[in-house]
Amino acid sequence: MSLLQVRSKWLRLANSGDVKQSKQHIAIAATFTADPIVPYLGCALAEADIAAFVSTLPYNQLQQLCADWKALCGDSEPNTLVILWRIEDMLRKPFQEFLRGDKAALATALNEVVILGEALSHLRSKFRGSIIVSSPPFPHSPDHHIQAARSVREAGAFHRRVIDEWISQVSRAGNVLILDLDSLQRYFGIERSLDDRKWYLYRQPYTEAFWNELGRQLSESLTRQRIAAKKCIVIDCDNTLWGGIIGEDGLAGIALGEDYPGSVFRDFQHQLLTLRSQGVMVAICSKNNEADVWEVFDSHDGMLLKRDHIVTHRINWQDKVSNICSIAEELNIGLDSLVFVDDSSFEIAHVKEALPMVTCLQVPSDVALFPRTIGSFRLFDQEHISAEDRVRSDLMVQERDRKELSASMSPHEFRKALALVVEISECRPEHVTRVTQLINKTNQFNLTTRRKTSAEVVELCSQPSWTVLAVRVADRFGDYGLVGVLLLHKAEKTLEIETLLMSCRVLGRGVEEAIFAKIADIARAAGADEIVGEYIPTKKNAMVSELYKNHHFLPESDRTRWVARDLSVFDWPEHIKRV
Amino acid sequence: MSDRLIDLFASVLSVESTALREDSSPENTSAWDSVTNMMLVASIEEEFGIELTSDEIVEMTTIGSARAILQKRLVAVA
Repeated sequence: MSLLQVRSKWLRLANSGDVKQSKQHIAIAATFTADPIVPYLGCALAEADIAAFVSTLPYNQLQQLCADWKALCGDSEPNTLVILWRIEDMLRKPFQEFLRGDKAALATALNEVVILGEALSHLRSKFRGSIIVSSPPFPHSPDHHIQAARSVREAGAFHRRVIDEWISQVSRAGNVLILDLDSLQRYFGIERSLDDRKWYLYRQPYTEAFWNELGRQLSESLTRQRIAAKKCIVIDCDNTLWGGIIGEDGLAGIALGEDYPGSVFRDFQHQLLTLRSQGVMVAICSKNNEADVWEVFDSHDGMLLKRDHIVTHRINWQDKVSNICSIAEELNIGLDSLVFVDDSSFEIAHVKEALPMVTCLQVPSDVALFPRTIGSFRLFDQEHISAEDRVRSDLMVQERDRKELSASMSPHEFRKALALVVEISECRPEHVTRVTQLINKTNQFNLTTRRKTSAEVVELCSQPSWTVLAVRVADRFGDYGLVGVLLLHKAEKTLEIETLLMSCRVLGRGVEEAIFAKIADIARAAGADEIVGEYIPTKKNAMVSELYKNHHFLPESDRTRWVARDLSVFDWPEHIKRV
Repeated sequence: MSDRLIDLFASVLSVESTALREDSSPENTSAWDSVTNMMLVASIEEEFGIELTSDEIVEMTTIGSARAILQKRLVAVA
């Protein structure tokens, strides 16, 4: 679709009922004219099935917005604010002085950044919706050309200090998303981003092509929080983890090392280790003899990946589709959480056809392009990486150990042998990231599948009639971490369970009983005489359709609303230690 | 009489082409404001495959003057 067509499409959408009646309203404030972004942002959101009304706020009134957003927005009630600013606009004077020799001007500039940061914190405390701010791009203007000889030492030094201060200010404000306008402009290129005519005529800095890019990027930032990131990468071995075929070429014949093509595969392994540290699980699915594959892992100098990095494997001669399904089942994640990487067109086509929800990436025929294929893949991205993410792979290994113990005794003995410890406590600020992540990622053990942004979670924590609880579980093999979330709402004599979700990792060990015991305690303390739970069926949560039934609740009408009036039946399970 | 240029203005301004004349301008056409002016410039550039100079953009105050600019550039507008 040409840019002209995108803008025409927006003209139609903007006049449609969906957009006009939409509750989603995004308002954009910038230190430059930003109207051209509207059609591109609007269409990008529409592509993500979000009908949103997009508008721009009066030119260059960022401070006014932060001080009193209601006054500036007037009649409109945005639920998302976007703030864009550049050094060329906001810090022009100190930037010029700095370039002309006055090094003290940097302090003036940093002070302006602090003032904007404080204004942002103020806005954050007064505005309940999502806030996105941009990082200032490397400046390029008549005052400074980025190819100037002293660029990296002077303008570069100025830019680095300003951007560092800004990021720290934004972190201090808390719960504000950052749009990396700096990276975007670098990636797109100055030549293609800036339009001098539009700047001088309208104070509008960018080309239509860059506005489109900016609109798409903004849309992605706004929607990313609500889309579950991919959880596991399933990789082939031959010509994917190393060059060549181990079964044919042998240990000495495969390519994996400092020279082409071995260096390419080594870089892919580096990427896998980084993904692993971000909470992505790495699994192997390869048509090979196990011994051959492990020999490479154990004995080849070029290997970066170790056996313990691999959460599970299917190394056999069976078809990959059933192996992949088996992996998903073992890891207890949906097939749509998987990414499959293979060099073979046949395997890729076969998996794509049988499992369309699995995302397939093929190693390019020119393997030098392989790392960039992986690097530019965005579906593993998360805004924040939690402590749980960092240890996820290790947790999976602990799980393997639990399974081995479980296989050796009865379920009752196993529960006791685990020595479970459960802590259910009010969500504190440091839990918000992980709680939000669970709310948006959990599909199976999730009674109502209501998604929330981190701003919404923070808001609920502060409301007196709401209780936000985090469930932490540990056993003798290790800490499962924060694995459950409860959102309870007190209305008169009723305690409503608005959200109840748990990671599948801790199913069937009595944690469910502990959760209901805690809910009953809260109901009693709040003076409620009944607890009400909802079940909203989805394609993925059939496993909890009878949860309330199995825990002393009685159905009202159609088995989607459940009530418990006798609070004395909810006992904390004996075999679980309570913190 | 309708042509590519009138159709383009009609589309960007969200009005019927019959409502537009050669002397349509921001003064007599409510939909033509500074925001839609930027969109008109972008659309004319993309539709006719040219890059307007800053002076031409400033001169483009009516549909007629837009047509004259395009004709000077030897662009077919019919």
